[in-house]
Amino acid sequence: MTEAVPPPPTPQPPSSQPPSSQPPSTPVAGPPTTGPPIAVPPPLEPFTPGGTTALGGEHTGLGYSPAMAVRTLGLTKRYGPLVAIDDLNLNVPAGAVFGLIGPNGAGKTTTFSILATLLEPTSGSVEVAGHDPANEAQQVRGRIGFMPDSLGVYDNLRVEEYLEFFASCYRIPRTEWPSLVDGLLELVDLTGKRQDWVDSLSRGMKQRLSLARTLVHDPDVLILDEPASGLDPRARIELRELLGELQTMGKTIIISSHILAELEEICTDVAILEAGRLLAQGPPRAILEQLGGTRTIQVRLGDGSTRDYTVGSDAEQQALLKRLIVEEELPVTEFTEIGAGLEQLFMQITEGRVQ
Amino acid sequence: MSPDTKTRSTKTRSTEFMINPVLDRELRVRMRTKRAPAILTIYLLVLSAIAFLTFQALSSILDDPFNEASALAVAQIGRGIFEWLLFFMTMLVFFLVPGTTAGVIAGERERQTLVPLQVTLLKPRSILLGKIGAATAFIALLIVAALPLLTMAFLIGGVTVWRILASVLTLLAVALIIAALSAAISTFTKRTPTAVVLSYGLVLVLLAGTMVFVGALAIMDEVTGSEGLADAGRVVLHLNPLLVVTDVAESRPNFNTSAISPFDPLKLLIDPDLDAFDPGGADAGSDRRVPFWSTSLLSLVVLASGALVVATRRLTTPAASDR
Repeated sequence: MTEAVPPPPTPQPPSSQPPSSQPPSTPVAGPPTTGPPIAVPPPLEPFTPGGTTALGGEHTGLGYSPAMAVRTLGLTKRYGPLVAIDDLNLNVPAGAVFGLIGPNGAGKTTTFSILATLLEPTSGSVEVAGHDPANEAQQVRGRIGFMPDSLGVYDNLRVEEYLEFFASCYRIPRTEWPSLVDGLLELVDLTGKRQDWVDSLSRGMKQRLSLARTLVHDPDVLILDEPASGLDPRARIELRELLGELQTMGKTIIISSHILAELEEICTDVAILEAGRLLAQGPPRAILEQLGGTRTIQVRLGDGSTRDYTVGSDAEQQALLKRLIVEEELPVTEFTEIGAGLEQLFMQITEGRVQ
Repeated sequence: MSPDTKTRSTKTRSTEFMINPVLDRELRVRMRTKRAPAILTIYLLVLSAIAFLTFQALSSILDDPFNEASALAVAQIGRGIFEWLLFFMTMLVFFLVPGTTAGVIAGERERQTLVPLQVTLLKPRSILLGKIGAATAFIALLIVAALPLLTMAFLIGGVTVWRILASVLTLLAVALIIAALSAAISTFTKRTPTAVVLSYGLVLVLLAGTMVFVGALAIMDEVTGSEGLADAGRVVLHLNPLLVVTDVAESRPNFNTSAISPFDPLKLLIDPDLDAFDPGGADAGSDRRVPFWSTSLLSLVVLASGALVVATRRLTTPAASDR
């Protein structure tokens, strides 16, 4: 391969607030996505100069579209007769936390492998941080941090050495390593484990260390394949906080999981995949509304009794609250949306199609 | 980040000398275990024992009433010690290198650490060379650590410093060649045991297979009455790494003395025209303008380089399918 090696970006040890500054229950608010929501795969849109992306961002041919961190167009991957991904059109807005949702075998890992420069697509176009992963792999590698679904850690290596090793793999000068490692360990809350052996860490700590590893070169886009699998509840909450922290640092995060509750609180956008095909894409609530989906509101009254209401949109939800409190003057003590999340969305969209 | 900062940073990166990261990490990890110094100690003890036993066995030359204690007789002892030590070290290379190298890539796959490496800015070639370098570094340490024992043979006499150095360098080259072949096999297997078995299999084919092949052709010559079949087939002996070391280490076999070296029969295999019972006679071997070791080493280097090219392609991503 004769492609030019881009100068790797200078790592910037994260200096924003520590993870503990954000309460665990606070849902992470992402930056607003541009343009209208998309509930179904957008029509095929060629990457032509001067065009406008489906979500409103401008792009220039195959050049970088600042509004979109990742785009795929007609992405298809076949293994012989098996179609792993079929005509996939993804649009991941910059700064989004984008959840790729689907059952096992839906094509999530294959999609990630293509985005992470590991796998060639059979057909279609891909753009990650403005570069084509198939033909400009080195440029893409300098801009992404990829965490595969398996935890690969080395024996006989200390936490500090592990991060320094990957810093050297990204050609970060040795003089920058100490401050880089300090910043990363602080971010993932492993400062006290600096001299510990990597293989002695708990699974949650290894997961956070792996995440730190993906950040050594200060990438723009993080691609995380099933990062929460196998973690206990506490570790999951810590990971979720960490992802929120990364989002506030301006990273675009693409994350996959087949446990929808994990993605519920953090994703600003989702894409639902099944059998290699994209079923829906956009902010979860927008997809639900566009599909005419409903959500259930549970209202608890002063006497402890509960009532369930079904609404179809935010407007209906507001109207319901107003009606209960203002018009009916009911002593509402709790107004909770139940079953309105990704799980319901997923079930509605894949109804009858999930094996 | 300001443009100035980026420029400065890029400049720093391009001018700073950086050791291959994989080599750096692997050396650190491998040498950190207690096993490394233990193996080194046991190895040197065994080599010392071999040197001592060889000396004891060959000292009988001096007791032979028909073979007075001439400088020539003492030289036979020195040469014997050198050749037995070198033979043991060569066998050790064939025994250890496939075991330490065959798992380098397959092991990364098993530990699921290969993908995180492949998505960094490291080139596949760097991953492979770093791994081979680290795997052979310890073997190289073993070979170099034996130099004081080998030079003991020089002090006794019968072997020159240049022959010792040339032999050790050839052995190092052979270790690297076998490491490259084993590492290349490792890129094709998903599991380490498979890679280890295949690597030892390949070494066995190169060591014994080539000799058996020529032997079989010689028998066919005998049976069918044909001529030249074995001679033509002898070209495969160039791929035998043991014969390269033999050709460099052994100048001329001599079966007239009791100090028979392990390389003597192998030298005859390289050049059957040599008369081991009349080393100074008229039929003192064919007049080879190009020494066997040079063409043999070249053949092995070409083989190993080809294997590395294929292995590098195998590690290159994006790939058409999951590897």
